[in-house]
This record gives sequence, structure tokens and C-alpha cells, in this order.
Amino acid sequence: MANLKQILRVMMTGLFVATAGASLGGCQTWDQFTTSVKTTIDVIGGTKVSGAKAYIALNVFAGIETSTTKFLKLPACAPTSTVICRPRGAAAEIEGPFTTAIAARNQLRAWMKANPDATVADIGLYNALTAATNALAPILSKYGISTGS
Amino acid sequence: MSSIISLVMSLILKVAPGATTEIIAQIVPILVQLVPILVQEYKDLLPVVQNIIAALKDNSEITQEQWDALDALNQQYDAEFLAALQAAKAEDAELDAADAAAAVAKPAT
Repeated sequence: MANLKQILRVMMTGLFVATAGASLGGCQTWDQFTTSVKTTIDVIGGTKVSGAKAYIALNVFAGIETSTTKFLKLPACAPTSTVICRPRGAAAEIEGPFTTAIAARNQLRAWMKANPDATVADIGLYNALTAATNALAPILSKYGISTGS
Repeated sequence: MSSIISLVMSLILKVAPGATTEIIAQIVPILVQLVPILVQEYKDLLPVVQNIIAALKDNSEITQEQWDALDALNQQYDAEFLAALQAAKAEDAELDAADAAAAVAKPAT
């Protein structure tokens, strides 16, 4: 079950990487997008991304956040712990990167709400969210944060 | 269990960076198959996976209703996360203090 949880976590991260990498890759990736007829994954004019892409990125972060919440609710590890527990100091280590990611998410949503055309999102703010979310990966890996209870 | 893992591995193989939208569109059936599993065992992830399925399946723009629902979900998840974070930090601080007190009380050898 532990391996399945890790795989599901990788899946969520991979889905995020795919949607982010699909627009931030090299020439070959850009050519693929220019021939695509779908607007789900689309960089618009170099300064915007489609609202759907932002929507997916926001949902992926939400999944990571709720998974981390489950981890934080675990009891703190004691020297004699025999159940799944939360290493001491993990909460303090998690706080900074998640605060950054939540702020990036809020800025992205605030931009979309403030702009009349909510079908697009500012690429700079989108990239900030993707960077902040990617920065969480080492912490998730270090503590084996799973996707289940 | 093996069918679940093969489903997930199929998804992982398809989400390599640089994947075309056509490839990504193939992810949708895989995610759909995961839904009943999530319902049973990982229900906290169910809303976000369903949202991703909807965004990938539908070529049209995200509706205001979908955005409002996501905003509400974010508020809920934020509140739960912050509460869990503060509780965990408080527990760690309490245990650290107890350890420090025990170390002080321990007679020197």
C-alpha cells in the first residue's frame, strides 16, 4: 500500500509536470502546441496561459495541500513509536515552502478575478505557482507524504 | 492491487514532459478509472481529480461555476492545512520542551 501511495503521489506530480512542461519546454514542445487544435494546453501571445491550464495547476496544488494536511495530522513520532507518525520538525520545515505556494496560488487567482477575461491567466503568476509547487517535491519525498489516509 | 498499479503506471508513462494534447487526452480514461478507487480509499483527492478530468475532457473554457467551486475548495483546504500545521508545530514544541526539561533533570554522570 505504501508503494501505491508513492506512485499516486508521483502521478499527481507528473500530471503537474506534464501540464507545466508542455508549455515551458524547448522548440519541439512549442511546435507540438502550435499544431494542436485544443486550447486546454496553450500559451497565448507569450504572456498568458489558458484558464484551463491554470485550473489544472490549481487543482494539482490543492491535491498536494490536502495530502500534506493528512500528514500533519499524524501523531508526532516518539522513540517508541510503532505506528505511522510525523517526524518532529517536519511541520516547521513544511511551513515556509507551503506559505510561498499558497501565496503564489492566491496571486494567480486574484489576477484572474481582477481581469475581465477570466479565460486566461498571467503566465508569470502561473510560472510562480508551478515553481513554488515544484519546490515542494523534495519535502514530500523526504517525509514520504502519501495520498491516502 | 496490480490492476490499480498498472493503471497508474500507464498514466505516468503518458505524462512525460512535452506530451501533446492528444496524448494528454488519453489520460482522461485512466483518471476516470481511478475515480472509484479514490472514492473508496483516497476520497480527499477525489474532487481535484474530478476537476482535472473535467478540464482535460472538455475543450471549452472553465465555467464560473467551476471556478467558484474551486475557490470554495481552496478555502476549505487552506483552513484545514493551517489548523493542522499549527497543531503539529505546537505538539512538536511541547515535546521539545519536555525533552529539554528531562535532560536538565537528568543527573550528570
